[in-house]
Formats: sequence, C-alpha cells, structure tokens
Amino acid sequence: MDAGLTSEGVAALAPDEKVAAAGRKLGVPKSWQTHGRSPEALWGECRGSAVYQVRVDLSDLAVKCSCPSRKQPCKHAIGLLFLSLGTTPSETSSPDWVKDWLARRAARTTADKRSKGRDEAAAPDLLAREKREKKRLSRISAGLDSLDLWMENLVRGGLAAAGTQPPSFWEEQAKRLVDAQAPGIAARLWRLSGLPNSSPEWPGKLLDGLGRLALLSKAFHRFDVLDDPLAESVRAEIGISLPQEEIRERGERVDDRWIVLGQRIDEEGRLTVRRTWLLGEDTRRYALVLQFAAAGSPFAEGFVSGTTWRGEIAFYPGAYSLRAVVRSRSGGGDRFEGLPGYETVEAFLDHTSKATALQPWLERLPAALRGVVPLLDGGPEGGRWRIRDSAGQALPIAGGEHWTLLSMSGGRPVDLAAEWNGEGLIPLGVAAAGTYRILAEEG
Amino acid sequence: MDALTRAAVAGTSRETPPASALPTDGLFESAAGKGSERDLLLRAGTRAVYRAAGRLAESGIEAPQPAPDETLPACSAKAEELLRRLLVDQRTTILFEALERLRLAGLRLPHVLLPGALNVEHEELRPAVAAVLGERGRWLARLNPEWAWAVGDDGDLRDVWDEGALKERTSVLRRVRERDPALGREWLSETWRQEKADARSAMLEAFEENLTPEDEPFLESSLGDRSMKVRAVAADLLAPLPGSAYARRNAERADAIIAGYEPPSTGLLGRRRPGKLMVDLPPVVDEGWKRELPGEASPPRKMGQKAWTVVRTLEVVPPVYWERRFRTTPEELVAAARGEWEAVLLTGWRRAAVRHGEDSWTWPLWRRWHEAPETQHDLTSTWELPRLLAPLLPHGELGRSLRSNGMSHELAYTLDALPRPWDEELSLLYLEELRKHVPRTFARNRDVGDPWLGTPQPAAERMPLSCLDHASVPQPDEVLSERTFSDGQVLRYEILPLRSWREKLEKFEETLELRRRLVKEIPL
Repeated sequence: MDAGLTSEGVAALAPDEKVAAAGRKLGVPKSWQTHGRSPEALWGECRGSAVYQVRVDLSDLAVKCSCPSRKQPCKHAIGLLFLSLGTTPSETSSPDWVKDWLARRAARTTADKRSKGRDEAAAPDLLAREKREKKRLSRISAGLDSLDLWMENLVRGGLAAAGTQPPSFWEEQAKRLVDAQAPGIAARLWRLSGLPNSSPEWPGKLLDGLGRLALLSKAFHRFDVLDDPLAESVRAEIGISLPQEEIRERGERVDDRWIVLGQRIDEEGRLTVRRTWLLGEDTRRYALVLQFAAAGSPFAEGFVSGTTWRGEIAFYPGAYSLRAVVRSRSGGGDRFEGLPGYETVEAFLDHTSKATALQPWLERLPAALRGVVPLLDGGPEGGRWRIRDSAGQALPIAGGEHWTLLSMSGGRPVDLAAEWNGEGLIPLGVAAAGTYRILAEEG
Repeated sequence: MDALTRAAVAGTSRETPPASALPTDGLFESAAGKGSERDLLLRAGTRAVYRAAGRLAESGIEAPQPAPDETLPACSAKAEELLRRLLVDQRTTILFEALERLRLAGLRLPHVLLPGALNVEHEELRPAVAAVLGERGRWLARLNPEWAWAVGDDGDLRDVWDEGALKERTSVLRRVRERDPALGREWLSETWRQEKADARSAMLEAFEENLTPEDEPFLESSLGDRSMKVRAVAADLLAPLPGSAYARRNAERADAIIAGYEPPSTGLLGRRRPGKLMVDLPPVVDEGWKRELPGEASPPRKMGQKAWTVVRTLEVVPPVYWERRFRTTPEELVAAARGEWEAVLLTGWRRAAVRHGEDSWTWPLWRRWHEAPETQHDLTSTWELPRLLAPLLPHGELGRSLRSNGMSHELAYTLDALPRPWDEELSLLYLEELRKHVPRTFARNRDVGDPWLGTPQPAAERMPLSCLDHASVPQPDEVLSERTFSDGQVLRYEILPLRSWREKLEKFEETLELRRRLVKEIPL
C-alpha cells in the first residue's frame, strides 16, 4: 500500500506486543466481513464477539473502531492495517460510516481553526487577557518561591535523608507546583523523585537535577534580563505552553523531507506522552513532535518510524528549538537511502556543547551518528556498551543490553539514531546494510 | 564523591560547602549572601550545565573484531516476518519446522533475529538454531557466555570446559561427545576425581550422546561411586549397551524372575486359553544388585520395594531377549502377562521397550493399556505411558484404532504426545474422523469432556506438508441455546463446549495457514 507501511511499521503502531500479535492474527481476509479502501481511508468490519467497524485515515493514520477496547489503536485497527499489507482490494467509494467519520474529522480541524480565529478577531478584552496572564505569573512565582524554600531545606538537612522519604514527600511538592500552574517544573521534580537509591551515583545526580531546578527558578525571576528566545525556552520549561494553533501560524516554518527516526512513549500519570523524533534530509534539522493522550486513547496523528514524508513543520520559539508541530504532510511512506548525521563523535559533542550553552535545561538531544561501531567492551559480565567512531572516540550506550544493535552491525560501522540523555545514547534505530530498522528497548 | 556533593548529602547544617575552582562558581556572587543553601544549589546547577556542555568522548577503547562475511544468503523479508512471529509466540513445533526448512534451503537467519533465536527457551531447538546462525550468529554467540552452546570451534570449547560454569561445561561436553566420544571421556576422566557429586552425575549424563561399548569400563567403575545419583546415571547408561557384563548380569537375574512360559492352548471345548508366564520373585536382593539398578531407588507410590526391583531389572533387559528365550512374539508375551504380577511385568517391559527402542513391543503394550488403562493405574501415572511410548508407536495403527474404536482420552493424549511429522495415513484418517465428529457435536448441541478437543492443535502442527492443502475443516454455523427467565426475557447463547470448539477450529486453521505460508516463503 502507498502509505509505505511494512509489517514492522504496523507492529510499531500497536500500543504493545500483545495487541500487535492479536492484530496480526486478525490480518487475514476471513476475519473480515467486509473491507475496502479509498484514496483517503481504509475500513473494514471485523468479526469478533460482535461486528466492529474499523476505519483508518490514510493521511495521518488516525484510527477509529467501534470496539470498547481501552488500548488504542486496538487490535482490530492493527489487524486492518496488517490485512492491507497482504491484500490489495480495488479502490471503491467508502460506505457512509466511513465518510461520516472523515467528514467529522475534517470539520473538527476547520472548526478548531475557526474558533481560534474568532478568539482573535473578537479579542474580547485584551485587558482581561493580560490580567489573567499576570495572575498566572504571580501564582507561578509563589510556587517557585515555595519550591526554592523546600529545596533549601532539603539541602540543609542533607540529601541523604531524601533516600528514605516516602513518595508523598515528592508528591506533595509536585502537586503544589501543578496547582501553581507550573506543570513543567512538577514533571521535572517527578523525574527526580525516581533517583534516590536507583544507582550508586544517585546523590550526585539528584544534586545536579535540583541545581538545574534552582537555576530555572532563578531564570524565571530574572525574565527582564533574558533575551527573547531564552525567555521563551524558560517559559516552555516551566510549562507555560503555547497553543499548537499559534505555533502553526507563527512558528518558524521548515519544509523538508522528514525522516521519522523513532518514537518513545512515556506514561506521565494519567497521560501518555509520545515523543517522535524527525530529521530533515536537506536541512539536517532535528525536530521533536510531542503528542499527549489520555491513557488508552489514540494519538490523533500517526508516524511510521523508518519512513519519510515531505512536508512543512513549524517550530516552537526558543533558544534552541526542537519541539515542532506538523503543518502539512503529503505522500510519505518512502524508504530512505542513508541517514544524514554527525560524521564523528567529536562533531556531535561540539553540537551538544553549543545546544547546552544556548538552552541549559535540555534533557534530551537527538543524535544521528554516521559510521560508528557498537561494541561490548569487556565482555557481558559488567561489560560496557559503547559506540566508537573511526577516530577511536567512544560514547556509552544507555539503558540495558543492545544485542540486536550489535547483531545488526557485526563489528562494522553503522549509522545510528539515538536520544542523548546527557549520559548515554538511547538507540532509536540503526541503518545497516542499506536498511533502517527501529530498535526496541532491550531489557 | 566530590566535596560539593558531600556537603549536600551531609547537609549544610553540618558541613560548610567548600570553595571550588570551577569558572562557573563566580556567576552568582551577588546571590551568595542569600544563604549557603541557595548558593550551593545554584553552584550545583551551573556546574551540571558546565559539565554537560564540556562532556568529552572516551578514548582508548579497542575496535572490535568484525564478523566474517556471510557465506549464505538470508531468508526473504516475508520469511523473516514469519520467523519473528514464531519466535515471539514461542511456537516451538512450527519454529522447529521453519528452522529446518531454512537449513535445507541453504539460507540463514537475518541478523535482526539472531538475539531472539539465540535466546530460544526450548533447548531442543538449539541444534536447529545453530545450523542457521550464519557467520554473524556465531560471531555474536561468542560475545555472550549464555550462548556458548552455539559456538563452533574446539579451542573455545576447551576454554569453556576448563573455566565455565557447570551448565556450560556439560553442554560443551555433550558437543564434544557428539563428534568424538573418546575425547569427551578423556576430558571427563582428567577432572573426574575433583568434581562434586552433582557435577559428576550431570556430566556423566552427557555420555548418552554417542554412547559406545568403549564407555563400558568407565561406566562400570562409576557403578561403585560414592554418590547414589552418579550410580543411577551409570546404570541408566549401561543398560542399553549391548553385550556388556552389566547386561549379562541382569539378564541372569531376570531369567530367575520370569522362570517359564506356557504358550496359549486350545481347551476342551475349543476355548482358547492365553499363554501364561511363571513369575518367581527373588528371595533376596543383595546390595550389589540394588546398587546397579537404573532410576529412582525408592519405589513410586503404591508399589513395594521388591516389585520395584523387578520392574527395574526387567527394564535393563532388551525385550527381544524374551522373544528369543520363549520363541514367541511380543503380542503373545504381552497377552500372557496376567494375574498377580501383571502390572509389574507390563511396567517393566514398557520401560524396557522405551529404553531399548523396540517398536515391535510398543504397539502391543500400548493396545493393552488402551483396552484397560485402569489396571495399570496403580503403578505409574497413566498419562506418563503414552508420553514415553509415543516416539515408538506406529502411526498407521493409531489411525486405524481411531477409525474403529473412536476417540478416547487415552488416544487423544497419545496423539498429543506423538512427535512430528505424523504419517500421511494417520493424518488422513484423523481428518476424516474429525470432519465427521464436528458436525455431530454441533448437531447434538451439548458435549462435556470431549476427548477430541485436545487434538486439532497437535494435528495441525504435525501433519505432513502433503496434507496441508486439503486439511481445512469448515466452521459450523452458530448453534444457539435458549433460556427463558421468569420475567419472560429470553437469553440466546452458544454453549461453552461449542464455543471452545469454534476457538479450536479457528486455531487449527490459523496453524495450517501459518505452515502453508512457511512452505511458500521458504521454498526448497
């Protein structure tokens, strides 16, 4: 099919292995009472304990199914996609229940735009808006003051005590920050709460994290002296987010052929956050598309790792912008030849220095490294996973074991896409022997 | 831990943070007056950023030895997808078939699947995996001791044998025995005296690979080992060695137990009387005898010590010995095992038939059990019997038994234990009966404890390729039952046994389809 889906790609769209396996089973014609496709959509009626109507919007792989499953996309949707790989039903016009859905989706998008437009046109009361803004800033300010006090107390009593605190110790402070409308800071605190006793170096890591929070709080109080892009970054880190629509309209636009390097999903409370990393083939720019969904709900837009699409994205403002929204995409699904990226570890670290200098609170940086050899230094017992470039410079690979990566490379240079978390590279995908494969996290 | 972190861990109330020489320290001098905690936090923050920005690469790490070039092509992308699925779902039987096909087609596993294949849970799959690893797979396996079983060359084997953990050493010993049993014996003799009892018994078990008459002296001496476990293993191994002194000793003992045989005869009124076996239990079982019997020393539940000695002594003697001695057939002998010692004789022979691989005995023994399984309940678990006999049972006979006697729980269990591939005759007979059975079951709209239910899955996994294309069994229409409640509401539902049939047939079809795709994607 033309969305360039491979069965690997379809499996990657599933929320977990189980759904992928169940979907695969359903991906045979006999599970389907009817199925069909048009240029815009795929649909089918799946026989289960009842008949479920499944539809897939081919423009962005959004799905909808009439089943009650809380996992999204459900096995029926995945099954329909698998089915489409194996069969090529001739294009027909879609039945009403598909047309209606597509129409509703289209209407929703325009409605979003329109309502936004109305807000601005009416601009009911600029004064009121300013007042609201002021109120929020003063709440954040109060929240940060209390965070500063809390951190100072923690350091006065000693971080050793943090190792024995109950979860409520962190929860209460994080909740206070959410109430103070600083969700970005609350999320950082959450991540820090996982550090105590997680590794021998935890006190140092915790101190680093608290220090950066203190810097962030200080930066907030000194908005007046920050230049605009850095001020935007600080606002974003605190969690004062700009509406996507505004970014779409006013953000820096970049048109390119975008490689979908890979995705990672995090559960943050009741929210599922999906990070999709993109890399522009011509501009060599990296972009991060963040998507949020209530746990179990589908993400509005689908990306297939390891494929490319042509389109325009708009970046959020900031001192070092990574986050972006998609403005338009077309075609897509093509495989790509090579992975553009840093030729040496040195070049990547140079870039990291510059990015950190511009935006000191970056937690993750994407990296595509060309011609590196993954290796296990010193044998599997206590061995260290590394990548090494042709100049002999090496960096750690983070997070568990990486046998698949090792197997794909066979001790020869490969192109690696990864997230850099400040300590190590978390592999997203690898291009070896002419094909790019996404890498799942290994235990 | 550096001084700044140490102060933070201890607490500024106890330890004053030190001055340090980082250029970032000066950034917040104006704020220093705000209290040492605040100062410490800001210094820690700037230091963290400073370090992140100044991160250096590591050097001095050797480049790894690259894997040699592949000599075989990888399978197709579609075959890869199929194999991935079989690995993830742990479909052992079909996975085995797929790996075999891969080898026969002269292909290897694609690189991306190697770690999954090397991690297969079922050890019996390992030889099939090892055969399709390719150069990359062998290269990879050398990097992980858990995969030592897949490593091919002797230099490495010797290293693992000298330095590895027990499990790795025994698997290495097995590999050496496969190729050169004498060398394996030599390696083990070198260290035999220093090994612990558990290690001795585990390693001696490896002698079952390529057991040869030359192993007899080593095994015979192990019969005198301090450890009971080692003695049992030695006896296990000696028993099937033809012509050994051990076999002769036990044949003499068995001779005294089955003292005579009276062939079947025709009585006065033309009634046929089955043959009869004369059994004499040994009056004394000396220590030397006891020590060298295979298997557990203590009898299973409900069996006496003496009966257990008889069972194990019979087990050591090849059943063909009795055919020669009494000049008759296995059928007649099995029929003659009646009376007080019936169960003891049958159990002993059964174990002997399995141990010595005599398939002419397994069918009469199986049939005898199938006719009256309850008479043998008291000895060993009923369900162990078909599992033991299955590899030696004639498939065609089982098929014909199905056609004439129908499905029983015993037959179902036997089919479940029957190794692949089923022969064509059995498969066709099975399919024919299944196609008759399913509509009957649905027409009756009831059925509890149907012995058929456990059989479609093994059939689909194990029937020969020649049967795959015509094996489908149509799904019957839904048959609903009705129940009316007191308030007049009517509930229509499919009863549970029919629901499970529907699932079984779905799974049956899915398995057939999987295997058909296997044939298509890995063509020979």
